[in-house]
Amino acid sequence: VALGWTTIAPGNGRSVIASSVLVSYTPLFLKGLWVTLKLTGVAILLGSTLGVIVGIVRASGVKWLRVLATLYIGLFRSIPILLIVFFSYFALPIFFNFNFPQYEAAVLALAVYCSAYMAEIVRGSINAISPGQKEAAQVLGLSRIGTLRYIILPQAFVIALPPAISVCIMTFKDSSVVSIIGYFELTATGLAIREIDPGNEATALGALLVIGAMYFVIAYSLSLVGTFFETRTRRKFGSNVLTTKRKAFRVGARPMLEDV
Amino acid sequence: LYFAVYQFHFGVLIKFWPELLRAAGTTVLISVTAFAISMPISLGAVFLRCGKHRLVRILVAVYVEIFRNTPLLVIVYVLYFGLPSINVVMGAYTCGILALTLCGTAYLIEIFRGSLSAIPIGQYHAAATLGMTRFRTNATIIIPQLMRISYPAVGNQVNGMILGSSLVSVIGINDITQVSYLIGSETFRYIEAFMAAAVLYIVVTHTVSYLWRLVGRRLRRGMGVL
Repeated sequence: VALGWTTIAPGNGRSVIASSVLVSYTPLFLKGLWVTLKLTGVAILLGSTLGVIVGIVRASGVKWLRVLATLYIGLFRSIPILLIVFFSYFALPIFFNFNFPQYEAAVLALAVYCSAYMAEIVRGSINAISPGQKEAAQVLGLSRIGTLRYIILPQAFVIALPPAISVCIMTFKDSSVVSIIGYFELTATGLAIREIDPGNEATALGALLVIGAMYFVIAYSLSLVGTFFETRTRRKFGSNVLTTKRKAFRVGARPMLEDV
Repeated sequence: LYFAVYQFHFGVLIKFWPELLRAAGTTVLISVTAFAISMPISLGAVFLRCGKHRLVRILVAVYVEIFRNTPLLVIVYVLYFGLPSINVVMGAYTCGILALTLCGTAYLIEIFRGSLSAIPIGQYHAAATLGMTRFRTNATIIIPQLMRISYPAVGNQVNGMILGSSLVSVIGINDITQVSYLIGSETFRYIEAFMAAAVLYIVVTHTVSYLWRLVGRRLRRGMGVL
């Protein structure tokens, strides 16, 4: 790994020093990565749970609940993650009159953000299943919950998996934003190491490149997993799963903000 | 419960309206500039990505994967805090727009690549039969279809860039997020300030979506297809 760091400033005598300095910070980098992974994991777990509930509600028949879910999804998909993080860290404590630690604020913001995108995917996947499935299940005497549980959701899950993985990648990448409210994760680690040794020119760039590389390795591996599931889904369902989206645009459904 | 007694005072925002309006302008300016730069670049690069030179193909793919899988915030930090150490110094606006452009180009190339695969190969064959050069085929036959197929996805990307532009505020650009934070810290009315920011973002993104769809309808009417 050290080889990449030494090439940051070729021909510069300091670059060798810089690389050895960066190597000595390896435990710090790894700890930052671990904190980011934990934070993202918890946020994705909470966000997916909330997202599945909101998505099912959004696809359901109860009108006022559906409107609420639509507003929820629309709101959190039209404002940037940084604003959500700011709101949960600076505004919610005023609202509820208690001190919100950075970790809880970060998890809440990321989970809410993740859930809005997940809900949209869940809705799309449920709608992608042909209505014949639901009708057949009801003819066979399954209840509405039973239809959802045994017929709709298992099929929707397979369709939702690849886009859900991209949402996980997005949440992972956007978790870097919580460094702004002072939560000490990977990005904050990189900035701090840069500031420990500002005189060392190559370290300043090197520390940031190292954290960038760490984000890249995790996100890219996840995207490969996503590609694997996508090809599998396509083989299973044929390409018609993918064309439903474009058909929706043609019949005049709103193409913007709805498409994932 | 405490929040039942929280008194909203949206009045404190009134004297800040010029700042908020200017902030909205900054957000739009940054994201639209970045989009306008990345659009022609990615339209050109997608033909390199799907071209016949293997090395070029791989290079473009590497670029796309790097910028799609690294957080925008980290890219902003590398450009603004990292590069000065090797004597590449850029202003906050340049850094912000550059970071957004680099990321946006990567996403747009991927969108265009997907759309390119939806165009039947017969279009190329027909153009070749008519004796058109490769460049002319791409410019007059392929790109118009490419734009039409990718139109909704590109619109989403514009929205994504508007939301992404909030991250560049951390290097001291007074966009909507930054200004609402400053107003909040000055008046301690964070709730009202962030709500105003959220409303501004919703107005901006939905206006842009609306205009995008409007233009799209016009274009489609002119072309008579899709």
